[in-house]
Amino acid sequence: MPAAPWRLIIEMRIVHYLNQFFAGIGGEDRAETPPDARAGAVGPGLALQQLLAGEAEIAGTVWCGDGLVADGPDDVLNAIINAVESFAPDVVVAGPAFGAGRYGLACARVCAAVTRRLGIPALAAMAPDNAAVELHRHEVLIVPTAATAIGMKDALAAMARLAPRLGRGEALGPAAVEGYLPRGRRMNARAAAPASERALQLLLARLDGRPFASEVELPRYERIPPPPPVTDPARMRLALVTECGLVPRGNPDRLEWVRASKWLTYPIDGKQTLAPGDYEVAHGGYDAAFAAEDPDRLVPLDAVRELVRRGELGGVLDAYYVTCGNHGILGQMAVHAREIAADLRRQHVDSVLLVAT
Amino acid sequence: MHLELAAFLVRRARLGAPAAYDEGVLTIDADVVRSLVLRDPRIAEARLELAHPGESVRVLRALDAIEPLHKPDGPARAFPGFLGPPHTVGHGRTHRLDGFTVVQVTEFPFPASGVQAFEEGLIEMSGPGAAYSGCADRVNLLLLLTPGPAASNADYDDALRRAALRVADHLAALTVGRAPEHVEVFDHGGDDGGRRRIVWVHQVRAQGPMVQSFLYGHEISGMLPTVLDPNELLDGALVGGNYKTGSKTPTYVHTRHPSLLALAARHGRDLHFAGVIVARGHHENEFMKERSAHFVAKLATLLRADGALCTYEATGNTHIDFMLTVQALERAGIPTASVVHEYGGPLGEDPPLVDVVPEAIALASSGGIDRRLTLPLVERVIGGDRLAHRGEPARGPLDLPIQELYAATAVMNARGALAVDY
Amino acid sequence: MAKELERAGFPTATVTSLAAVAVKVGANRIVRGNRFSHPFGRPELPPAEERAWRVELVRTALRALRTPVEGPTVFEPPAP
Repeated sequence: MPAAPWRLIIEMRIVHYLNQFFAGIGGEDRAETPPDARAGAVGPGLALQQLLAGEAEIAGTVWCGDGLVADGPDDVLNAIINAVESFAPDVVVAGPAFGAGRYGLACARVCAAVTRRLGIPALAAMAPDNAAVELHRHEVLIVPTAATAIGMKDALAAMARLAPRLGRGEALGPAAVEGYLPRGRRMNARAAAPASERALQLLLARLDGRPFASEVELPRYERIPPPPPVTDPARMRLALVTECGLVPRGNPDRLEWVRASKWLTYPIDGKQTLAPGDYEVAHGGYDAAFAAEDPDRLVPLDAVRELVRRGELGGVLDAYYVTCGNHGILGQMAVHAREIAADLRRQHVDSVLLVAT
Repeated sequence: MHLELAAFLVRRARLGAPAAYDEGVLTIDADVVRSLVLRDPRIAEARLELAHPGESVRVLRALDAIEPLHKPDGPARAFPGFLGPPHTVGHGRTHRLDGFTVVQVTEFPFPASGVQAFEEGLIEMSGPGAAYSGCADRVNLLLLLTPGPAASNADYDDALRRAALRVADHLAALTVGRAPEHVEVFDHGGDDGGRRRIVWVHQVRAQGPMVQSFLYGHEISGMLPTVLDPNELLDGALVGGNYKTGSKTPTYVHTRHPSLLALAARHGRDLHFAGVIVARGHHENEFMKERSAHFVAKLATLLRADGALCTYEATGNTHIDFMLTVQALERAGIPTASVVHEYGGPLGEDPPLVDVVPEAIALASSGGIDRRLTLPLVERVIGGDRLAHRGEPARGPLDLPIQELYAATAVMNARGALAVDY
Repeated sequence: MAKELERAGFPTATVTSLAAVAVKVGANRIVRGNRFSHPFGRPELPPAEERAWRVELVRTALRALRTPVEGPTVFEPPAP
């Protein structure tokens, strides 16, 4: 059969980011290589192009020394982004960086910047325990690879599989299905069996000594170093902050009692106690009757005033802060706390009594 | 105990007379139903509505949903303690109307705040919400009730619960003399034959009026964990009165829980269903939470459990009760696996669980309950014009988290929803 | 919220009935309050005694604020 007289024009354009080593310039000794670019594929990009076949074309390759991008000045990153943009790509791929920490960081930074500034989808490839993963996986799509270049073939295959789909603007399915590292988002899917049945299967596997995979990973909590103690409470200005949803009767500012979207302050100056009848509870998670009888049971103003009178406490801020901890979305609660902290700083507060429910 | 549970499928219901069940069609005599309800002067008025799967219907102010049960051979009655004396059930024969529920739709007569305040839970009969909504996959008789002279919300609640159970019993009794679709046999007695003994730990909500569960006709806030034969649940020993909607377990789930069915299906084959431990959650402080958790572990040990399948109802600080229970079981040498629902915010970026223990290593996810849905405009709204908690017009369109759908957590378990990493 | 306030540098006494949770989450100065619905309340006592107890509980919070800690530490109020 005679060859076709026409050549297929491949529409999808990819830019490939590499470091100085994979671009063929040199090793660690050339880590300060300034950014540069060339049309077409370079180094491992040649094999990548083969795998992409007719689906996409590596329009250009951009490289830079790891030492400059991982923690270098911003103008280096700017130059890289400009070079990427000059090839008008539909998608950018970076790496594979395998276990190389600075290369991984460089790939992640480039991908994040490309998406943030140019709106172009990007993916990076590196080993799951590369330091860059924990730092960037929330914002950058990362495909897992082996720890060393022994895994080059598989790494390129994974990149070739996902890059065109990103370039077409396709939404990807779950991480486990598509083969990328979880980015810290969990969305709902549907299994064939009810959760109870699946839990029973996990239990039987445990009892049999067979391997099993929990569907929910246990979290690791961040440790905050404790602030130094107050030297002398008799000179201290205390602020009262509560998650218990205590608001003036009528809830005038409509504090929501589930998943509260705001925090509020209410004045307490001149008050020696919180009077029953003046307050109500905007919190859907517990019985409010006891607090209604005496709101000091939630926000202990009477006791605080007593201690100020006795000279054991310097003073208390003239307003208390309130939000509602019921079903509080944790990220939202942290935002509230940060804003309250800023407010406290402005008012020269030394310490906080937080009532958590 | 040996129980034969005869299922009579309801494909359609209609109002008419005389009341009858025939070949999948339930004819409901509205006058009979109304008079059963209005026997109690604490209810002033009752109207009937029907909702079928697939209809463009949204139901508000829904409280409990009950799958009708009737025991044709006396003296034992289904829903013991309410319809009959609080004697042990779970044996003999029971008829159930499969695919049908009786639902009370009403406002409470007295204002309430805090945990007792009503939280709206929408029943969506079609559209994207139906997959997450209780009652969406069945035919529903909605009893639209108007309160009469009740002394308190709890008093009214008692009236409407008993009324709905009377109606459920009456409707299920229409199947007497008819041939069932199928009959299931439940018998968990006898020797375990060396098979692994598994208990189901069923933590339910019991904080006070409107957030309550009932065992043999009495509320369980003061209850220490206790042991039931699975058959007792099938016969309606545990009735739901928890109106905290997305995370509630309506009675029709208590009488046919996915955990019970999963264990019963394998009983006698690769495990021995050694019993159900029912415990309340939401204890007021750590002392009471720990006390309950250790009681569960002790009961499981006394039942010689080799493993425990654990589930819980509701959310908030009851996660702590649950995780302490899991921990106590594990430390007592009883491996566990649990179903947990997840949080995580609208995009699933926040931590999924409110509380965990390091021993909780085997978890099945029933999905993220605070991901959001957009519900369309519907043709018909039953139960009110505006959502109770936000005041939005109920016809829609609505944007809300999944947990504002009726019994969403229970539905998500049964339908296989789970959260996965993206 | 305790961790964000501490992260901002404020010594924070977190009063809660769920001290074990606060430990797990990593709040550093934790004071064990009474019940969930009334951490500063003891409604079973006569009012004057309840108030005196409440003063003791706030005193415990002040003690927590002036005590150096290494990590999550639970401060117990005097026994009722």
